[in-house]
Amino acid sequence: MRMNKKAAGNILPDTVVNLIILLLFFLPLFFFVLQQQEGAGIWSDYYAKEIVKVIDFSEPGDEAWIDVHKATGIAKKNEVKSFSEIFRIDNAKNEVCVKLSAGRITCYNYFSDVDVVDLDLILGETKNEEGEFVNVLYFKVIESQRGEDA
Amino acid sequence: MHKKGIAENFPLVFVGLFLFVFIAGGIVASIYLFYGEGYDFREGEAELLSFKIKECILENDEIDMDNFFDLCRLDKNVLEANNLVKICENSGDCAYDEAIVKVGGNFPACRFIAENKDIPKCIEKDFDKNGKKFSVITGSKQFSRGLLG
Repeated sequence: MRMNKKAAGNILPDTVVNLIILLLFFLPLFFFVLQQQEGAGIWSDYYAKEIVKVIDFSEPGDEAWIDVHKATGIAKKNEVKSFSEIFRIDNAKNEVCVKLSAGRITCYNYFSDVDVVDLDLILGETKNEEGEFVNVLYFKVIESQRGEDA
Repeated sequence: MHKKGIAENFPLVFVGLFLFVFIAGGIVASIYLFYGEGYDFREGEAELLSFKIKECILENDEIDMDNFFDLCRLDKNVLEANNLVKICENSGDCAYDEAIVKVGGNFPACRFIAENKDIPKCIEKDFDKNGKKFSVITGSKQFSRGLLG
C-alpha cells in the first residue's frame, strides 16, 4: 500500500507538468488555426488595404461604397459577434482595422490627412454588377478635424 | 535512485518538445502554404502617394518642408512611420541630391531589385512645371499589423 501511494505520488506531478506543457504548446496553436478559418487572416489583410486605397485616393467630400459581401460572410461563419465590429476606422491614428475572426484584427494606416465619417454597413440593399444583392460598406471622407480640435 | 530517475527522463523530455515543435511548425507551415501571405501593397501605396504629390505640386505654387503636409493634405506622423518621400527640383539624381522635401532616408536603397521585406518599394517620377524639372521619389515600407481584439 505504501509503495502504491508513493507511485501515485510520483505520477500525479509528472502528469500535471505534461498537461501544462501540452496546453502551452497547443492552445496558442489552436487559437492561431481558429483565426485562419475561412481565410480570415488573408481576407482581413486584403480588405484593410483596399479600404485604405479608397481613402487615400479620395478627396474631402467624396463618398464610397465598397462591396464587402465576402468579408461579412467570413465574419459570420467565424462567429464575429456583430457586424459593427468588422470594420473600424480610427481618425486619430489614420488607421483602418478589419476583424473577420474572433480575437484578431488586421490594421493598416492611410496617409491622407482626412477624416472618415458616417461609416455604415448596409446589408443586402445594394446590387452588384451581376444584379445580386450584396453587403456594402459606406463612408464619407471629410477634411481632417484634428487641426481644429488642437 | 530518485535523482537518477529524473535524469533518465531528460532525453525523453527533449524528444517530446521536439515533436511538439515539429507538429506545430508543420501545421503553421501548411496553413501559410494553403492561404499564402497577404498581397504586397507597398508598390501600390508608393504609386498612389506619388500621384497625390505630383497633383499637389502641379496645383500649388511653392512647396517646401514647412507647407508640404498641409498643402498636400498628408499626415506627417503616418508618412514618417511608413513611407519615404523626396522631392527634388532641377536635380541630376534625386536619390543622392539635395531635396526641397524629404521624409525618411536611405533613398538609394529604393533601387535594390530584390524581394526583401526590409527594403521599401519605391516609385520614381519626373515631370516638368513652368520650366522646372521635378523629381519625386516615394516609397512604402508598411505591412499590415495583426493585433488581438
